[in-house]
Amino acid sequence: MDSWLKIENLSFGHNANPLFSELNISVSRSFSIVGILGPSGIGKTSLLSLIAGFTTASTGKICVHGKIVKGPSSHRPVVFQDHNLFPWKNVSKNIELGLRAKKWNKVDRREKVDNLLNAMGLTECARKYPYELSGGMQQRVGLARAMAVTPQCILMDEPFSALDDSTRVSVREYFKSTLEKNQTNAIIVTHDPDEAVKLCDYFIVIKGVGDIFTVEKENIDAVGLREELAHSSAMKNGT
Amino acid sequence: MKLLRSLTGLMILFLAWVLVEPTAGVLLPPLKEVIASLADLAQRGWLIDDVLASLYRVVVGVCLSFLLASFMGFIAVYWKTFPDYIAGGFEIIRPVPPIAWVPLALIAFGVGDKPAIAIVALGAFFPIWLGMVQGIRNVNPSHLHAAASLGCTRRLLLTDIIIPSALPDIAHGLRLGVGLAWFCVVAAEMMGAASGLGYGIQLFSQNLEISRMYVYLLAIGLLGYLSNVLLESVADYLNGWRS
Repeated sequence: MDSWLKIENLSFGHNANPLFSELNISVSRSFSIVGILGPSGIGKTSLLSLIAGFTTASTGKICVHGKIVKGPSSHRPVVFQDHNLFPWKNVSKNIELGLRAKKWNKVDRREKVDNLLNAMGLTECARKYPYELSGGMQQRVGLARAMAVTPQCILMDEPFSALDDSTRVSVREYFKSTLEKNQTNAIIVTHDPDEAVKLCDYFIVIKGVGDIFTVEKENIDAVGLREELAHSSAMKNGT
Repeated sequence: MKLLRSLTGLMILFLAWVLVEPTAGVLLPPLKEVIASLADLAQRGWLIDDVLASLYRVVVGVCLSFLLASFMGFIAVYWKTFPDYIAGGFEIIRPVPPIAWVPLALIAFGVGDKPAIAIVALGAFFPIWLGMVQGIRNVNPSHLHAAASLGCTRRLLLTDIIIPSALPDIAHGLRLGVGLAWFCVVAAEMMGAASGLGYGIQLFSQNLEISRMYVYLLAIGLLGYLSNVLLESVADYLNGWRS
């Protein structure tokens, strides 16, 4: 089966305390959005960092759309949990940076940025700096920045966790429709099973070292995953 | 408002001068005598000539320091441990007051602009360099990751991430460097120059022309203050995103 994400014999972590050992995962092209699920501190963000190329595995390899991950790449931009916008650049310049890296000319860059600002409802904020924006707006800028480089795959780390409920729903819906429209794949780290179910069609579930499995959306209730994650989340929050 | 507060401090200084002057004897001439000397020195053209001579040495010296620190900073961006390698040697030289190097500078460069510029450059270099190192070390790795994941090349990482991120620390180091540069230029001119504000202070003190000496002291203070205000304004403009 043709896969867009392939993880082969991946090991990572300290020898005494490995996070992943001989991990093998293959995600078919029939699944476009992959969720990485699991309780806090289990290694979800570490796996995303490995896929992003920010960190290097001890052994094994990762292939995204047939390319071996050797470092960060504009084929796999990251939307960060804390937005991670460049505070010295205004909204337009933040979005524009990836296009400058791709050596687009100024006119084309401006047109693309304007289109993205318009699509994200950020036109009024084009000249504002990140500190002048709400959390929801910053997250939309982060998303626009990643979408600007028309990537094959977007990586997202708890992208909606910092948003309030109403903003979260609108940003999530916009995000999903944008991905579908651009036929872009995504890998999303989340600890919220409900959010994951609304967005993703395939899941990598991390429960511990050697206890990592994959499941399709249709089977998530059959394996009792949603209840299990909701329970662990509630336990963590003390509710 | 900030300017108003600064002017209040200036008013207090002059008020204290007027109050203390009658009991200070030769150490503090009457304010009106200093103002008369100011008019006289300005009319003769001595003041402007010496101000320009000192300013030239400060600007050239600071520029040389900044260029050298920038070049070394460029190396430090790509060779992270470079500052550690040179820190040992620098930390031996840094505590030596720049004035202690004046005799050597005179032997090396003779009397004139060059020894004063060398002393200014030496004095200004360390705060500028340390500010640069601090700025480079303070670059948020997450910003580098984000930029790299957008496909930024090394050049873009330098121009669009590292330099703007390090700018607040660089500006701070530069302000400290310029302050020290004024300190150094006066010391160097007092020992080995035939022009400049330091030379003038030395000359007037030897001739016991205290009111003229005070004009030059105030000129140094004013120039140092103005250069600080100028750099602060430029830094505030460049770092407006930090609000």
